[in-house]
Amino acid sequence: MELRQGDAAAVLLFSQLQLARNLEGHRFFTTAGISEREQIFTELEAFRAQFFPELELVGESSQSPEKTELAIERLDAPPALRGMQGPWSEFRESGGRREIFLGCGEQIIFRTRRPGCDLLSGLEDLADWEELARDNLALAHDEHFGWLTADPELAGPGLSVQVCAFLPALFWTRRLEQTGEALAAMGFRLRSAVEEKNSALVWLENAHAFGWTEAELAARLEELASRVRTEEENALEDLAQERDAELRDAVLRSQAVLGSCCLLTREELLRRLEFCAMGARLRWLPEDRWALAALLYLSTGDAHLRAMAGEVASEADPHLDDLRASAVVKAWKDA
Amino acid sequence: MLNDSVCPDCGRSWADFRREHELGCPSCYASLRLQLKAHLSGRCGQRDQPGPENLHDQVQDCRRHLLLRAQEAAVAREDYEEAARLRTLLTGGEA
Repeated sequence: MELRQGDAAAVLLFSQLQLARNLEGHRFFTTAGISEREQIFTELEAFRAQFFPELELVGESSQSPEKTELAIERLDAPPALRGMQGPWSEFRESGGRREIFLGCGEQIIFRTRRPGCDLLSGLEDLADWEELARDNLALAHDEHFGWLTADPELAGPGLSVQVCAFLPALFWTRRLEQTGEALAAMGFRLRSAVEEKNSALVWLENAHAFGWTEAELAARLEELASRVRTEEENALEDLAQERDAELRDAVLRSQAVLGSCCLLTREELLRRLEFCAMGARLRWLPEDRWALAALLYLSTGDAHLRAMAGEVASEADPHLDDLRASAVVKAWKDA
Repeated sequence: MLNDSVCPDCGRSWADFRREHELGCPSCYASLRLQLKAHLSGRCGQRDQPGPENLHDQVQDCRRHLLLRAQEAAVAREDYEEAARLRTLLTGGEA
């Protein structure tokens, strides 16, 4: 996870692009039978081995369900992997930010991730990989619909663009919903980036891609993300002006709890982290608490904690609250 | 009647798509063309899909377009220093 450690202004934590392509003459992966899936996978793997032999295998379908769930929670797998029975594989550039997923809902996905919100540069990251695929694979394409994908709203450029944003002030002023509605009217959306449906950590992403070029989509989301960032800053200013004492009290209490608690539910933790993040932005707490709060927000879900504990605990297991508290207190004190 | 269309390659019908929101194969786009066109223009607007273009060229064109817009805005607010900096960038120099 690349976060802008120490940069209190990093409302937009990181951005990623996923470019999907499929092979002509084959069913899409989710409807193909097992033998056709293997055929598709073999063809894509041969392409990968010829042109990207140096990529490291970082995930495959033999992973246990817990690990796959964990990867999804940590945003380390595209949504297309959810529920996939395989075969699928994930390859990563050594020390780089680019990845290739083979055998997902969309057969081949090129993905890149960058800190902050730099989607046009992200698109440039993928340009040479996409060109190799275009020149060496028989890709499904139609004059009217563009690149063909299992989800037709992704057809055209086949591109998903996403920006992960931490927006505690919009969340607490209840303006996040309005922001989401405004984005939806323009073909974009806000979606919680963690397992809780309502949260201050969200994905800003395109709801569909058809009708756009890849660069138009990336540039448009960059512009909208910048506006959302301004909205978050305005909301925080309003909150600090209108409810100063209340907010300051909540920030300082939260800071104390995160540094010394013994049991912590996920729900309480999220609220405490939101207050501490706002406190960091207002310089009531050290600036680096902002990035730490975002990181803990992402990495203290139940699936992550179960994997840390190396066991499968039931959802109601109080042991998770114990684990969560000790992980948070350690991170909070070490920072 | 249109709802009864079925893709001959994978057997997926328009009703299947409405239920599962996924197509079965590239041929579905030809078999269900009319319904898909109507569906996409309702969801994504009336724009036609631009032809495929090299991503490097697209990014370069897009950056140029954004710089031009920023330059126009700078001129409109009479910030000529910024407009000159943007002009240098547009002509390939270093600002």
